[in-house]
Amino acid sequence: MKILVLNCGSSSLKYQLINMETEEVLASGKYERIGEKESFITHKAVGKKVEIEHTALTHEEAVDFTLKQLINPEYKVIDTLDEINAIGHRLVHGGEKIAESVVINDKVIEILNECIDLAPLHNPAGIIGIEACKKVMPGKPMVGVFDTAFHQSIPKERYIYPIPYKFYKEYGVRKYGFHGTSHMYVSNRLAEMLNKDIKDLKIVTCHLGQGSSICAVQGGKSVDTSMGLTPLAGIPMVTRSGDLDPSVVTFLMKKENLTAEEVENLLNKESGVVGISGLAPDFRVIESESYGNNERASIAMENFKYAIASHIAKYAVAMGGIDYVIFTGGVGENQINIRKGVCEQLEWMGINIDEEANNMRGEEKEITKADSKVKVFVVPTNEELMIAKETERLAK
Amino acid sequence: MKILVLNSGSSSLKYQVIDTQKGDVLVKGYYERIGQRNAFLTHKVNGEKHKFEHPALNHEEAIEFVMTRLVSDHYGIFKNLNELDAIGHRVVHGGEQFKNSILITDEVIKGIKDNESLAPLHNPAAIKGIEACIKVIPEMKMVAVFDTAFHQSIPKERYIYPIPFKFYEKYGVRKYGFHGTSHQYVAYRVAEILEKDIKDLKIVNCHLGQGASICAIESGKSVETSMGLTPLGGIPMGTRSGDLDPSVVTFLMKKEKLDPEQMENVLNKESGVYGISNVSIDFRDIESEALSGGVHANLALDNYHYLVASYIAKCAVAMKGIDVITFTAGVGEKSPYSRSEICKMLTVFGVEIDEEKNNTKGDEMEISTSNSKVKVYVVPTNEELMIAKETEKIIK
Repeated sequence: MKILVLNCGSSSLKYQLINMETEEVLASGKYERIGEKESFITHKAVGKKVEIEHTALTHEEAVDFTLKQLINPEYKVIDTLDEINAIGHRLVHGGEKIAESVVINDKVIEILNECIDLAPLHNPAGIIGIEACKKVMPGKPMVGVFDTAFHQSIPKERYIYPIPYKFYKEYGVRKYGFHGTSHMYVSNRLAEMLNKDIKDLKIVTCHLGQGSSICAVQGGKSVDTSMGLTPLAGIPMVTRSGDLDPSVVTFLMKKENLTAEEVENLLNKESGVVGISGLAPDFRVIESESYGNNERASIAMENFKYAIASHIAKYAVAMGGIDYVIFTGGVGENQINIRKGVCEQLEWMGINIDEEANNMRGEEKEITKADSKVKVFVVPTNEELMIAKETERLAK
Repeated sequence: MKILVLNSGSSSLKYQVIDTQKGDVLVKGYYERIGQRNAFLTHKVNGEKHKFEHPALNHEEAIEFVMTRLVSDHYGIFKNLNELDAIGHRVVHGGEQFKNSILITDEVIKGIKDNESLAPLHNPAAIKGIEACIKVIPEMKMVAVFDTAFHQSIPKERYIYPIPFKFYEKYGVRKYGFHGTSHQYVAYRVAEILEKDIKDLKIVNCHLGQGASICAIESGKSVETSMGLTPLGGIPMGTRSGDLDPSVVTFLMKKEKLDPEQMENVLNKESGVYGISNVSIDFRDIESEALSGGVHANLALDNYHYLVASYIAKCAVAMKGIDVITFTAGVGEKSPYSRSEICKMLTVFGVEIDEEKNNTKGDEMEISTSNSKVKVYVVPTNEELMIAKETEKIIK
């Protein structure tokens, strides 16, 4: 089976064509500046990388041109579009109505529309991508894989906020959680690596990247996660604050005369590790600065590591223990010292890191010593593959 | 020594005279509705309560009247005010300036005023109390004991928020923490009960009352606490939300067209356990409703217990382990149900409570089993005694 995985932004389109038999990525790329005259596509296939300037005023035009690249004789990966068996769409917010991946139909589009309030940027983009595919490849089976779906198994007492209950009923204000596809992928991948039934495992997955979230996966199900109503919540991120004393929000609004949108912007784009350190939004730079005499960079890194370790300990409460911790995402896969710093804070819980094993980037492997009560692994995430697998499962 | 402990509110005044040698309360009382014609005083001495309707148009008049009670033949304990050794004032916010209790001077008064923007209701009230005492008994030595001071030992990476650093420099936006006097009292008291040097102990104190905060005390020093810039931060409380996804704040402000003050009001007065349950602002009512099957009351308490247990786990990360957990304040002292639910979730850390021993209300005692790796105690708090002792220490 060959699955096309699509991730639609408001003016962009990311894609991969995956051969499910070999799990090989046949082609991948990104269309940018859709809607403008200067739109262009970066396409990778058969070892070649091409950049083509081609105006796509709509996502429909972008999808159409992207498909042409797949059969372009110069670097074709399939002979005809019929070889694509199904399309998997990465979708963000399914609210409380979507608890797993679904075959896309009118009802699903209706749900995406209903949840626009909760994901005002992402859901409209998802709908545009679906509609474009319908026009360009009518009748092709399509599956929606939602960022929030995996977390729908979280028990109510953990997703409800301690605020007036009417706001949950009226607006759906609750914890939803995000990065579900990544948390699901790495936890299942680990069970596969260990040759164990995921039903028997208590896993904490730490997806640390530009955005970061942590998830407690018990018996293969998410039972708590750090992100909340929105992806601003939980632990600090590169430019996002994570959870706060709510008075910080209102205090700053009053002192700086900010509107709700302005303070959201500040907390999403100028906060987190960048906010404390005052440095550019690049983790590697901030980390290397923190080893010098840059006090603020060092506070930012310590604050970040402590928040991660604290969340891991919280999930030991959620699951009554932890068997495995997984690091994934750009930072989780590549930042050796962050993994080390987090694990050292959890030594008392029975985590004993093997510094030699940990001294690597991006490999799928264990980084704890044999006597470590809790085992820690690095598992590079692969959301596209997960989406493709879910699509294959449902489109069969 | 005989110390008068004063806690000034904006229109009220609570006091106790404590004999620090024995820790006895010689007299206590509460002046209400100061500033109004129908102001009245409830004064308790020798086990008898007396109510005086006596107008006090300001704190000075209130203090003056209280002093006449202290030396009165019928209601008093002194022949002459000279028998009083000092006055200890409870002050809420000492900012970063006050790391310990301190003898009150003009400079200290100015310092308390400097921190008014951080505690706009409480610090001005404390100033009223202090200035009234200066007028009524100018020669008396006075000491300020701050709610925030005990937490000044928290390391910087834990008190800095992941928001732009300039807000810390400009407005002092950081975690301060509150209930310091209670956390300090209980921690030292449990060390005394255990006959151990507090320097060798890792204690988590859970001050669970109408307001609630948790504190990690390592070697007698606060190294982490749940409340933040304001007493709204941390775990959910009777009517307060605790920490949130900041987007919840801005989302609701936009949806409900609330200004920052109105939003603060919702989060301070209509949220927390009350907000979810919509039963009562009294924990006892919510508990009895939950135990008789109330769905929302159960949801509210389950959420509360989970977040308390999670914060205890976070404190374990801060100290790399826990030796003792203490419960104090209204709920902490008097709810066997809450203590039991919280401790059950901590089994993974070696907490095991004895349900029979736990069936106590307000007694100072151990409630863990002899097998429990972490000892659990109920220790009724006594902030007034702590303030009296601090005052004695400073003026000696």
